Parts: sequence; structure tokens; C-alpha cells
Amino acid sequence: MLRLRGVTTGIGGRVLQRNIDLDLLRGEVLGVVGGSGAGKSVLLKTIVGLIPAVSGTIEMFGRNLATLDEDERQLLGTRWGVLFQDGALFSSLTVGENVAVPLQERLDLPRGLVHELVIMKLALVGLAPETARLYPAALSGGMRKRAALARALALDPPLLFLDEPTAGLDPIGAAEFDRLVRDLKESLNLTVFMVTHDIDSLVAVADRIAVLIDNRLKIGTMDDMLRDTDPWIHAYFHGPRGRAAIERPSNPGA
Amino acid sequence: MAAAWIEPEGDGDRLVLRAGGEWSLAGASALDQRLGALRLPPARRVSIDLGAIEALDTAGAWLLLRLERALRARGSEVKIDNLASALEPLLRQVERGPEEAPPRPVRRVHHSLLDFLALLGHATLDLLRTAAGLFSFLGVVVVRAGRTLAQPRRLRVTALVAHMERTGFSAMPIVGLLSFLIGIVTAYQGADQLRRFGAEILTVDLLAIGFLRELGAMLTAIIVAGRSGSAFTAELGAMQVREEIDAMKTLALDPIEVLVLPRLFGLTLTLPLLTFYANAMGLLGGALLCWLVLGIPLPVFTNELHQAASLWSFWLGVIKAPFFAVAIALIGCYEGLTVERTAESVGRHSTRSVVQSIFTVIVIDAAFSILFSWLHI
Repeated sequence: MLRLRGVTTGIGGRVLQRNIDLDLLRGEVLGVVGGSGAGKSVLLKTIVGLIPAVSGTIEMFGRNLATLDEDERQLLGTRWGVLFQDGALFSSLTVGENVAVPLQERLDLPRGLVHELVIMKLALVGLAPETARLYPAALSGGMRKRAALARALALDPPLLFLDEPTAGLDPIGAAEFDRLVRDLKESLNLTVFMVTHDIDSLVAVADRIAVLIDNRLKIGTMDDMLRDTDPWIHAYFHGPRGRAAIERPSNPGA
Repeated sequence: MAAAWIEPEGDGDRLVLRAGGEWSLAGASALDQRLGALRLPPARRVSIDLGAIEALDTAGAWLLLRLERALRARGSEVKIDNLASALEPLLRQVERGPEEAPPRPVRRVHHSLLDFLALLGHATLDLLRTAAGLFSFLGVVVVRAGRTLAQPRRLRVTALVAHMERTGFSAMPIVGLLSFLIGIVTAYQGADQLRRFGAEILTVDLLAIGFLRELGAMLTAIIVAGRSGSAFTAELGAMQVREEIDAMKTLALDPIEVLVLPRLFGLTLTLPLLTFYANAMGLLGGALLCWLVLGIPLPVFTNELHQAASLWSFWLGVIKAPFFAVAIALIGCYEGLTVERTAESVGRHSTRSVVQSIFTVIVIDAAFSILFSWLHI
């Protein structure tokens, strides 16, 4: 699905990650963690092409992004969806229109069908049909994230990028959102690249974990991480929050 | 992969619909049409055979589900056969949605007389509300300004100087250039008309009175309204969107004192200076034209200028500048503070800010003209 080889990322002349290799396999959820300022979001934006990589190659669906021309890149862009941190819904459009944007831009669909698909997508992410008429400003944080997820899923992309999907949600809302991601991943056969701070999300959703540390990327399963001796990783997974999330007998997303 | 297809088979009591190909978003439009055109004989039992389906996504699943529900609604017994087990969770997930999509919202088109009247009424009310809001804002700002002036230590000098530089000093190139050019144009057009009476020399009078009393101050105010008024609105509006102004209030900082007063005082101090500068540049342009085209040398020009315009003409122009400045700064800040939390709102309020401040500048100018003629000056 996604292959990174020797990728160096940076922003404003500052290098954040050096020589990263990463493979994302079909149907897996990769959770990316790291301290604040470690460049998790920069890595995500580099992969989806919003920030140019300093060096290295990024391949998605077996195509090297750097060698594609503008049209091919746009076409390939319809095969992944991105959920931004605060949703990034267009504030001048209703929720329904937000979800309809990719459908109308990319495909020549009759309006009635677009509307039906929008309602269906909203139902997929657990929003009532009436939500379609509301403006993003009228939504709560959790609903905004759900609506943004519906927009990211509008074109049925096989690959989904989530940037801190549970940040700013209350624990109940966060657990519900984790369950939603898990559900959709199963039923829509999604591959998910999830940047997060939330150790509960990792436990509930992620198959593998990538830790950004000292400009490098350390990838492994939760068990690998628990055994790791690196002080930061140890502190992260064995800290009070980590322990509570991992040892909880039945975690909310399972 | 093959395009999506669906074929009915059998008749009478039992109907089989064979579906196959790629049921996905890419082919959804064609499939939607095909399904709409499908004329099925009434049958008690219908089975939908999905054995030949090659790919299914949520759009395809939705169309399938819609077909199933439509058949059920006709009273048929519907069965789905040969669904690949890998696709089953997808279908279940989509099935959880509402039975029927609510009607698509229709945008109302305004065309009747009643709609027009309603629109007019809304616009009038909106105008009155804005005016009322502006006046109450003026009141609050005057009170805070009085308090700040009574305790000059509360004045934020750094911000004040920064705003003076941004609204005044940085505006000098554009204000100077435009005044210079308008000075040339006024002199040229004036000379053209006055030549018929052999009174070219009166061009200097035209320039002196026109520029010093009216054009200089108004031109500068309009440029500054477009340049700085909109900037005030956009700055405060963006802060409003990012909740910075709410944060300020919780830190016991008064947004009017911190944000509005430095802009207001800064602009009130700089606009008269800019007006003076614009007057000078306009007269310079006029003098240049008089010398090159009419052959009036500079000493003669200044001599004539002295006779045509008293110091009063100059003051009558400059005295208006602080009033213009207050109007521009107040409207710019008021519109910025009333921005709602959307990107579109910032743009709408910036536009309104510029339109309102230019309008207000012209109204104030007209009021001054009436006042001056009433006072016989």
C-alpha cells in the first residue's frame, strides 16, 4: 500500500526525521506516536504530498509519487482520504455539502444519487441524516470529526490517514470513535495510517505501532514496544496512563 | 474489470436478478440509470444473485440496498444469494443507515414581489442593526478612550507606534504617488477648460482650493480605508475565529483597550500627517504640470498659490482627517469584532468594512461642506 524508503522530512530548514523506512501492509492499522514536536503531523503531510520530502522515495499503491505528473497524482489522490486534526470542514458549506464536494468534483453523478450517498456516508460514521443541513460551526467536536471522516471516506478510498482522530474528544467520545474506525476498517477493508497521542486508541485500534524518536522510526507490535528499553518508549508505555490503558481487562474498542 | 451489469431472468412467480461486474463509485452513475430504467414484472419472490460481482464499495452497496428495499416495498419477498463472504460486512455496515434518505433540501429562489419586499425589509433591518451596533461601539470606545487618556500609563505605546508605522509610514509611497498623479490630472484638465477664457493662471487657484480643501483629505482617507480599514477587520476577524479574543477576555485584558485603542489613536495621529503629505505631493504634481505645459515658472506658481489659498484652506482640509480616521478605525475594528467563526465571515466583514468606511468618509465630508458653507468659510 505504502512504502517509504530513506525518506528525510523537514520543515523550514529543520530536519525532523532522517532516512525513514516504512511499509504499510494492506488491511492493517499503523499507529504513529511520538512526543509533541517530533513531527508526526509533518510525516503525515509529507506522505500525502502537502509538504515536499527533503529526500527519499514515497510509493503509494506501487507508484512513486515524485515521478507522477499532476493529473496522475490527482487521480491517485482519490485513492486515499485524510482526516485532519480539527476536521478542516469547509466552514461556508453545510455538512452535507462538505461530504458531497469530492463526489461532485471527481465524478459526474446525478444530484439525487449524490444526496443519497451523502446520507449513507453520514450514517456510516454514525451521524443522523438531519446533520447534513447543519453548518460545521453548529457541531460538537466529536460530530465534526465524524463529519470530516465521512468526507474523507466519500470516494471509498482504500487508504485512510488520520491525524489525531481522538484529540479533543471526551473519553467516551474517543472510545466510540476508536470503535468506529475499527468497524469501518473491518467492513470497508481499509488500511489506516493513524497519528495519535492517545494510548487508548493504540490499544484499541492499532495492529502495529511506529514510534518517532530521535529523528528515527521504530516499528513493532504493542508487545515489542512494552519490551523496548529506550527510555522514552519505556516512559510512554509504562507511564501511569500507558499502564492503565494496556492493563485494562477489556479495553473499550475490543 | 467489467462494468457493472444487472439482468432480470425468469418470470411469473419467481424472478432472478443476476448482478455482476464492478459495483463501485466509478460506475455508479451508469448503474443508477440502469436501475432506474429496469422494468421488472411483479413477482412474489425475487432473488438477487451476486455471484458475478467482482468488486463492491459503499456506493455499490447502497444501490444494491436501495434496489432490495424498493422490491420489498412492492410486496416482494427478496433474497440475496451468493454474496461473497468478504463483502458481507460492508453490506451490513451500509444497511445500518436510515431506511430512506430525507428529501434533498431545495434552495429557494427569490423571484416574487413578496420575496423582494421581504429581502428589502431584511436588508433595512440589517442596516439599522449595524448602525445601532456601530453607535453603541462608538460609545464604549469613547468611554474606554477617556479612561485610558486619564491614565496615560495604560496606553500601549509599542502597539501605537507599530500601528502608526503600518497605517501611516508604509502608506506613504502609494498615497504620494496617487496624489502626485491626481495633482497632474486636475491641473491638466483645469488648464484645458480655463484656457478658453485666457485664465490659465487660475489653474493654480483650482489646484489650491481643490486639493487643500477637498481632494487631499478625501483621497488619503479613501486609500487608507481600503488599505488599513480592511486590514483591521481581517486581523481582528482572524483572532476572533481562533478564539484569541475570548482568551484575551479571560486573561482580564480588555480587547478594546489592547486592540482597538492603539489602532484608533494610531490612525487618528497619522491620517492628518498623511493628508499634509498628500497635499504637498498633489501641489507638486500640479506645479510640475503648470511649469512644463503652461509655462508657469515655480516662483509665479507659489506667488499665485499664496494669493489663492490662505492658511485656512489648508486647515479646513486637514481638520477633517482625524474625523475620517476615527470613522475608518471604528468601522474596521467593529466589523472585525463581529466576525463569526467561519472563514467566509472574515471575507464578508472585510468587504463591508471597506464599503462602510468609504461611504462614511464621504458622508462626513459632505457634512463638513455644509457646516463650512453655513459658517461662511
